[in-house]
Order: sequence, then C-alpha cells, then structure tokens
Amino acid sequence: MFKKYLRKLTPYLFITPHLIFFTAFLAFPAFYGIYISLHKWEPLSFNKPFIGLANYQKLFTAGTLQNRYFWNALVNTLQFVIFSVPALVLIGLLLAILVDSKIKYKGLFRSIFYTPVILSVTSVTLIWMWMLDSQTGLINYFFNQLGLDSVAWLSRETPAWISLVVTTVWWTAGHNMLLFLAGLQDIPQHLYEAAKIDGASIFEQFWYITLPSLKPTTLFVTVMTTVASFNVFGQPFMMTQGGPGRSTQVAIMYIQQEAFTNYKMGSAAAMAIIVSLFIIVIGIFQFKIMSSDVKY
Amino acid sequence: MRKRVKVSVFLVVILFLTTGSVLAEEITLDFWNGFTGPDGTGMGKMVEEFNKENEGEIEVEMQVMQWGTYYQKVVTALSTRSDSSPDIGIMHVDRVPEFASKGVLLDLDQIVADLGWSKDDFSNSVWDAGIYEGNRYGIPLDVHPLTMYINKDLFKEAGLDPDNPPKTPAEFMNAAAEMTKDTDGDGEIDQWGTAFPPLWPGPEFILPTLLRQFGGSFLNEDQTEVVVDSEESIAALEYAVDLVHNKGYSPTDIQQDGEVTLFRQGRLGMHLNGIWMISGFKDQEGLNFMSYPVPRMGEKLAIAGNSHNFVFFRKQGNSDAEFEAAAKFVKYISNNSDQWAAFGQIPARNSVRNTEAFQSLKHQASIAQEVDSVVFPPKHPIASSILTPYYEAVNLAILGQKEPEAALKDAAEAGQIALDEYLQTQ
Repeated sequence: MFKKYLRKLTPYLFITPHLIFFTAFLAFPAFYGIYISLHKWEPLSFNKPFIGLANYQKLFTAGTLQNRYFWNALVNTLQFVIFSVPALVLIGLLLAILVDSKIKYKGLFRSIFYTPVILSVTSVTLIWMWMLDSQTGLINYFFNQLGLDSVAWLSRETPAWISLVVTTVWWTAGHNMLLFLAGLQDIPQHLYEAAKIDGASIFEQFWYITLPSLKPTTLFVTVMTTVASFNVFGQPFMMTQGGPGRSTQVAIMYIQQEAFTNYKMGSAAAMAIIVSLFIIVIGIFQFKIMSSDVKY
Repeated sequence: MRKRVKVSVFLVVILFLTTGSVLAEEITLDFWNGFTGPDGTGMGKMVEEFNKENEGEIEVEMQVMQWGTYYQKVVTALSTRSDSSPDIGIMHVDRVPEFASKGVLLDLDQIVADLGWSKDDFSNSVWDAGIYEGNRYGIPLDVHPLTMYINKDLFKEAGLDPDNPPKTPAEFMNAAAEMTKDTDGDGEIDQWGTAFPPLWPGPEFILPTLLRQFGGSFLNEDQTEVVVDSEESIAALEYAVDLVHNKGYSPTDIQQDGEVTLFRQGRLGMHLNGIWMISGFKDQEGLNFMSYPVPRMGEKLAIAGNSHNFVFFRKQGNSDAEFEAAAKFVKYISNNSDQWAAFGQIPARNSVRNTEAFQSLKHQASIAQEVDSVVFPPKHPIASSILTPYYEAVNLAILGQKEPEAALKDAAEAGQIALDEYLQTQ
C-alpha cells in the first residue's frame, strides 16, 4: 500500500527541486508583479493602496510623463530588437559553420569566439567605450589614419545604435554559435554523402540539408535572442545612458528609473507587464511562422 | 563516544558564545555607507579606532556598498522594517528630504543640542542643507564640490601662471582660449582649454554651477513651480553651448569620462569634475596638476556640490541607549574628520578645516577656500524626478542637438508635470 503510494510520488519528487526554484524565483515574482501593478506602491510608504488599473491607464493617457517616456522607450527597444536579432542569429550561424568546417585550430577559434560571452556587461561596455571614444578612441584613430572624419559614436543617434548593436553582437554572438554548432553536429553525415553522390554543390547541400535540419535550433535561437534583446539594459545604460536625450533609452532602463529613481514601483510593474505581453505575443508569432513543419 | 565528545564541545561553544554577548550588553550599531574607494578605507580605520576605544560597550559594524545601488538597498531594508536594517547611514544631503518626508529618519535636533554644535561650527550652506521642514535630519560630515583641476604644464606653455588660476569670467575665458590649440599641425584642434561634457558630471554639476552663477534656480521660492526655463537658466546654458560650439574651447560630443581621459593625457587645460578625482589624478604618472575652486563664470560665485550626512534610521524599538551610542559615534567621527579629508573630501566642520593636518593637504585645502560658496541641489522630496528632464535638456543642448531655450522649456514642462502630480497627492 505504502509502496504503491511512494511509486506514484516518485515523479513528483523528481520535479520538486525545480518546482521550488521555479515558484520562488519565477512564478511568485511574476504574480507579485501583477499584484504590485494594481497598487500605488511606494516602498517607504506604509500605505500601499489598491488603485485598480490606474497605473495602466496612465500609460495610455496622453500628457503624462509615463505615456511620453514609456512608449518612446518601448519603440527604442523594438528598434534594438529589429537591428540586433538578425545580426546575432546570422553571425552566430556563420561562425558555427566556420568552426564546424575542416579548418586548422578549430578548438582555438571556438574558444576565441565564445570568450566574450563569459565577460560581464561592465567589462564589455568599458572595452567598447574606450575604443569608441570620440577624442581618444582606437576606432576614431583608425578612421583618422584612413583620412576619415571622427565619428561621435555614442552621442549621435544613428552611430549610437550601430555601436550598441556591434557591442552586443561581439558580446553574445558566441552563445548562438555554440547552439548552432550543437545543431550542426546533430545532422547525420549520411545525408551529405547521399547528396554528394547525387552531385549537389556545397551551396545546395547547405540549402537543402543544413538549413532544414537546423530549423529547430534556429527557432530556439531566434526566440531566445529576441527575448534577450527585449531585455537589453546594460549596454545602453553604461554606454549612452539613454542618450542623446532619450533616443536610446530602452524599456528596462525606463522601468528601472521609474522604480528606483521615482520610487513608483506600481507604475514600473505595470510597464514591465506590458513589455512581457509584447515579448509573449512576438514569441508566439515567431513559433507560428517558423515551427509549422518542425519535428522534434 | 566520539560523537558525544563532539556534541558536548559544540554545546559548550554555543553556551560560551551566547552568554558572552548577553553579559557584555554591548550595543551593536549597523552603519551603512557607499564609501567603496579609498574613502572607505579611511572610514573603516576610524570605525575600528572608535570600536577599540569603546570596547565592550559599543560595536559599530560598517557595511560598504556601491553608491550606485546603495539607496535601493537602504529603501529595501527600511521597507521591510526588519532588524537587519541599518541604524546609522551616510546619505547625500539632497536625498535627505526624500527619506525624511517618508518618516524613516530620526529627528536629530536633540543630538545636535546635546553635542553643543551650532551653525557657527559648520560651513553655512551645508549646515542648513540638512534641515527639512524645520527639523534636522542630517549631520554633515563633508562637502564635496565641483572642482577645477588645472594642468600646470599647459598653463606654463600658454604663458599663464599656474599658481594664480582664473577667478573671473574674463580670466577663465582667456585661459580657455590660450590653451585651445592644434599641437601637431594637422589642422585639427587636439588640445582644449576646458571641457563641458554632455554626460556626468556636466548636467549634474557643471550646468547647475553655471545656473546658480547666472542667478537662476530650479524651483521657485515656495516650490510650486519648476523654473529651469528662466532667463538666467537659458543664459547659463547658452554660455556653455557657445563655449563648446562657437568658441570651440571644449571638445564636442564628449562621451562618458572622455574628458577625464583627455585630462589624464595632458590634453585638457582646465578640467571640471568632483573633488573625489584628486587621488585618481595623483596616481596618474606624468600629470602635473593642481586643484582650485571653480572660478566665477557668471555674475556671482556659486559652486555646485553635495555633502555626505550622517542620518539615523527609524527602527522598531530604537532605544535611548542606542541613540546615545549613535550620537557618540557621530561625534567621534566628526571630531576626527581631518583624517577623513586625506581620503578626498572637505570636512564640514570649521574647526577641523582649520587644523594643521587639514591645511597640509594642498589640494583639499586649496579647494576649501571657497567652501562657503558651495550650493546644493534643491531641497525637495522628489528632486530627482524634477531634475531628470533638466539633465536631458542639458545633454541635448551641449551636444548641439536642441536649442537651449527649447530644450529648457520642455524640461520645465516635464518637471512641472512631476511636481504637480506630487503636489496633488500631498
């Protein structure tokens, strides 16, 4: 009797450790965030009155600061996603193919491309800020040597976006490379052998074998990269501080400002919920268009 | 058998530890601050000495964290109102109204009266800065103003006297002009007289200095209106923009700390930055520099600054004994703050500034000459929300991406929205 009961319990015991952490660090904070967003929540006030959807209403009412700054920040975030995701996926794939091919020192190149991933955002942004400095940076030095004018990399809007995307690609493309590499190594070699016998060129092999076989990986990489890009914070926070003006201020930066400079936790939580909704909707959309014929 | 020995040893140790702390009735005070640099080492030494002097009675436990996240941690600790929240803290004086208005700081008027301290013992403006709505919540430890660092070699090269730095608007402009030049003859300016950066500390310290020097302010007298778009304020910002873009005495498009790099490289004549940069510049090899008070660039002398203040946090069950112990600690640190100055700041107390120990610190003593001209950010619980749009306006104007007047009009409007919202809830 007891044994039977125990046997039923076993699978639950296996998922318990994960469930505990999932509940404590994901599920609970998420629901607590929704709860906070319905209140006027100032951390040092005793009273945290329930105010219904007022925090959300503010975001949709013209004339409020939240309306003005939040949508600006969200549009900026979307811009960053649009610029960075294709670059991160394509360059990740390219690097993976490169280090999967028969070149010398494969291991060395794999390590080199992956190394930036393990650096902290502070180190990465410091390195790039030094290189991109308007007056004393390495990149402008090379520009001048080539007879080009110095560029204000971080204080004009367009160069600032380029800088942020380049920094992000340098920092995280190695992660995507690793995922693609695993995907590439999962493709059975006999497919290529058969194709070669049929006289397929390298390009045809790539197009008809590699790409379709990588579809699940590509889907995963694209969705994860999109989510990560939506959550971008450290790079603009350190490198441009949202400037010039607020033209590179991203959603998480404004949420952080609202929460910890203005101490409006309720309003900040409401914004975070809206950003999450955007991520969820875009994620579903990506799954829909890309996973139609993916078999796991 | 062995197990039993282990257990009994364990029990004895526990007994020893618990009775030890009960018998001594030692008061433990948690002291939080953000002194992560050499200033933290200095403070740590002073705390250690205090603990030694008061062994068995008071134990101050100092906890140091980055200023960047310090206030977030304080807010979190205080919001839980738990035992682990700090008893004593260091707070920038402009943050005092914010915390005082929430009722989490203790009124310190009695302590100050008991210690026998008065306005005459401190530099004027800093003493008043710690008062909010008639009560004192902060006891000033130091003053850290914007400072003018000069490169002595560049001064000499330009025929200027490095021991007699600019003090008036004309002298400042002249010095800036003399030191701005193309040193390698490629037709591009590569050495500048000064720098007005569009990022920290430009909007936060340099422009507020100019604003006050030109006679402007952030808020009107009764704090109901944001007046950063006043004539004086526009004039101050136009002065900066003109210096950067028309006169060209400052590099354009400076990135975060780009001007610090230029000064370290010896390509900047007069560098405006906080007093906390002294020790960093001292470590820079080949940099021959001196520190002076910021000169007058407008109608009257005013220098933007801030001040570290002691505050006592309201906790459940604050006892009188704890309060007295905290007062004793603050008095000790304040009396010995000449040691502290060696780590970068100007002591708030007049008596300490007049000591030989302090006067022998040539950089700090030089900057301290104008300590009475130091002005502080507006005293308002939501000052940071009101000022953020101003910083943004300064950023855009100095980058040359928006006209000063239009930028400041927008900043005043946005600040006013934040202020109105606050006033409505009061």
